[in-house]
Formats: sequence, structure tokens, C-alpha cells
Amino acid sequence: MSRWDLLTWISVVVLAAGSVLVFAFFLRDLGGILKGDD
Amino acid sequence: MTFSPHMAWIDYVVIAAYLAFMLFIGFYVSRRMTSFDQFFLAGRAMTTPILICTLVSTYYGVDVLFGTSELAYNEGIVAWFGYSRPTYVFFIIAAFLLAGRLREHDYRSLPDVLERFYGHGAAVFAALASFIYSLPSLGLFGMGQVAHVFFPSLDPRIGALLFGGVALAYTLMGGLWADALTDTVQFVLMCVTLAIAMPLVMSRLGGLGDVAGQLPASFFEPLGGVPVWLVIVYGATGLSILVEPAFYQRIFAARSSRDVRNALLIGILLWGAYDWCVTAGGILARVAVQNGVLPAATHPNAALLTVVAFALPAGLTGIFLAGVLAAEMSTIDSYCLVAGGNVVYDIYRPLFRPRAGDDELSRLTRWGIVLSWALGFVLAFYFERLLALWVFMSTILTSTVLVPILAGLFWKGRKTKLAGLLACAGGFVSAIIYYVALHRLGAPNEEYGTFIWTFALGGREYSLWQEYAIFFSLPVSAAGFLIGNVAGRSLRQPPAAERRA
Repeated sequence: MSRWDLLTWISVVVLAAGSVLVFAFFLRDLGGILKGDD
Repeated sequence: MTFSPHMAWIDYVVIAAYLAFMLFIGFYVSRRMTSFDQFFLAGRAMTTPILICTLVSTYYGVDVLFGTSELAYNEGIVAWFGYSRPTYVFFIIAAFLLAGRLREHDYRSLPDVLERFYGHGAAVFAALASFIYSLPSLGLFGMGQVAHVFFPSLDPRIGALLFGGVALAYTLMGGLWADALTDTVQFVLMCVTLAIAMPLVMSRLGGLGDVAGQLPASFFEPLGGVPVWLVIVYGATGLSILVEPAFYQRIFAARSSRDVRNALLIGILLWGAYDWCVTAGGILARVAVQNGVLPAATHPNAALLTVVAFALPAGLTGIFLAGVLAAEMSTIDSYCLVAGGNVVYDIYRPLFRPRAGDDELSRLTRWGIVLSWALGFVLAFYFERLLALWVFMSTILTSTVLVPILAGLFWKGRKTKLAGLLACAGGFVSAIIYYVALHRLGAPNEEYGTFIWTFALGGREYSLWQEYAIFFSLPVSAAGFLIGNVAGRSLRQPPAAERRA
């Protein structure tokens, strides 16, 4: 596997896992947001 | 084998469900719009996860899907190293230097910042520049083209009207909350669909390592094939990040500056991954065209879309189309909201109704949103050179507000009202003069989709591109600031603070 293919696979994993993780944390906050700090 | 989109009934169901869900979110949050701050700044309660979703999805639309992939199709990995990478540097600067400064006061918009430092005159110029920049022309045009690729019988204008109309509807109902909550769904869709599409494209066409032998060696050199000066011009477009009105709106809407900083740092990782996938997809699309897998007539800026649609089975095509529409809708809704605020909060309110209440501001801002959407739609299908139009809009914004904003936030010395006004007016007017002069003296260049004026001086030939405008307008803006600072009266206290006291 070339380094460019490796970079592509890393990007795919970052995109998929990152977006799902961020969305999971968003759902955690959603309750507080719907109920109603420098 | 030639390309045709595999749209099955399940794909239509996916698209319809996606659009219905966006409208439902707009309707659901419309009931909590109790104040202008709720409508325009989401009650200043955005947390890190929602900021990541709304920043990543707002800032990336069809300009990335089409523009970056087109550059990769034509030039190779320089699309990522030369064009995308400099923007991450500006985001890091924004995360560590800008976010904290912008949260020291209860600003509501970018012109609000200038009003505080320099008064109404500079703020109105900034609002005009921000309004021009935020018109959703490129987004509506791109959305029409995307719809036409997947539904060939659908006129691009009807496609833009239909899908852009949904974005307009939920933004009118729920303001920034509707914008941000739909952004979260759109964020997941645009990231996950690209992450699913890339392995499928690679399984059909091979990876970059497999196809490297079929492409010029410069395709795999980080700055290969593109002149260094053009890479510098690409990089300079990232300057607009430091004065991006939708970005500022999210900084003001955040719960704290730490939320903004964390969101930007995580966002850079996701932007980098997204850009690389788009770059790799553009390169693989070129190989597919070379090998006859895709038709020779495939336009470079539609190559990524075409190669992904080619690789996806029925069902997934609908999800990918929803992801592409999501990338664009999340951009259109945000900029319509910003432009609507520019018209009403930043121009109409200080000039005609300084005591306007929350209800009046919210109601009139909705009309401002409709105005910006309609104007964006007209421009989208009037101009033939949309990319040139976008470069012009970006140039106007950066030329007008970059110098006075950075001076206001970071320059500790003397500042005068006249300095802000001359910096804004000088940048705004000189950018327009540069464009008018270049379009009268120069000629269109089809290869780069730009205007170039070539002239001889002292026996040598020189070329001026329209993209060079900020290299003229920013020094003019800086000179205006310095002259105004010498000639004007020193400001003891920011005007906006006096007015609100």
C-alpha cells in the first residue's frame, strides 16, 4: 500500500469515526439544549 | 461502460425523508424563538459538539466538492497541500488568537465589532461587504447542478428552487437554532457518505498507488505542476477565514471561547480528512476518464460527483445525494441568516430604527433572509463565471474589514473613527476599482476561469490576475487606517459602548 493510499484510509476512518463520535456527544447535549460563560 | 446515476425508488424515498426531517426540525425549534438573540445567536448556548457540526458543515459546500476535486483532477495532490492546507493554519490562528478577543463583549455580528471600535460609518461599510459576501449564489447554483446530475430531466433552476427553498423555509422558522440543528444531521451525512463512497470508488478503480503510473509524476508532488506564486494566491484566500461572518456568528453564539477553540481544533482534523478524500476522489476520477470508465465529456468540476455516483449501488446513491445536498444546504442557510442580519441589524437598525425591539428585529430579519436568498438566486443564474463571482465576493469582504478588524482587536495604540472609516472605504473602493479596471483592460482566460491583463513594461511582459486584487486593496486599506489615525480624533471610549450605556 502506498503512503497516499494509507493517508486515504486514515482520512476515511477519521471522517467516519470522528463524525459519529461528535454526533454522539451532540446527542448528550441535546437534552439540555431543548430544555432551554470569558 | 458509461455513467448514468442509479436512482431507484429507495433513493427517492431517502431524499424525501431527508428533506421532510429538515423541515420538521425548523418547525420544532420555531416554537422557542422568544427573542432576537434566540433567533440570531441561538441564545449564545452552543456547546463544543454542536459547534463542530455547524462549523464543519457550514464552511464546506460544493465549492470544496467541486473546486478542490477539480484542482485535484487537473493538478494532483497540490489541491490538498497547496489549496486546502493553508486554511488550517488560519483556523489555528483563529482558534488561539481571535476567539478569545471576540468574546470579550456581547457582539452580535461582524459589523458590531467595527461599530464598537470606529462607529456607524465603518460598520455600515462592513455590513455591505458582509452582505455581498454572504449572498448564497454559488450554493444555489451548485445545488441546481447537483440536482441536474441526479435528475437529468430537472432544470437546474427548478432544482435550486426546490432544495434551496427547503433550506430557506427552515431558516425562516427557526433561525440559528434550526440552522445549527439541521447542520448536525447534515454534518454526519456529508462525512459518513464520503467515508462510505471512497472505499467503494477504490474497490472499483484501484487506489492512488495503483494508478500513479498512469498520471504525470507532478501529480504526486505536494506543490507539483502549479507555479509557486499561484500557490501563494491560493493560500491568501485563507485570509478571509479571519473575517468570516458566519464563523464570527458562531463564535458569538458559543457558550464559551473554550468551546470555540476545541471545536476548531477537532474541526481541522475533520476538514483535513474530508479534503484529502475529495482530492483522492478527483485524482481517481481523472484516471476513470482516461481509461474510458467515465465519459470523456465529464467536466472536471463534476468528476468527483460522477465517479462516486458510478461506484455506489442503488440505495446508497440516494444517501450520497442527500449528503451532497446536506453539504450545500448547511452553507446556504447559514449565509442567508448572516446576510439577513446585515440588512436589518447592521444597516436598517442603526440608520433608521435604533430603538427597534426584539420582535421587530426578528420579523424584519426574516424579510432580510428572503431578500438575500432571492438576490443570490438571481445572481446564481445570471453570471456565467460563478467561481469568479465568488472570488470577487471574498475579495470585497477581506479588503474591507481585515485591516480594521485586526487593528481594532490587537492594536493597543491610538485608534480613531476616521481610521476605521478610511480603512473600510479604502479597501472596499480599491477592490472594486481593481476589478473594473481589470475587466476593461484584461481578457478572460478559459484555462483558469479568470481575467488576466497582460502588459509590457521596460521591455518585459507582466500579467495581472483578478485574484491579485487583495494585494492592492489591503495596502490601500492599511494606508487608509494610518492616514485616518493621524488626521482623526482619538477615541476615548468606543462609540457603541457610549450608545448602549
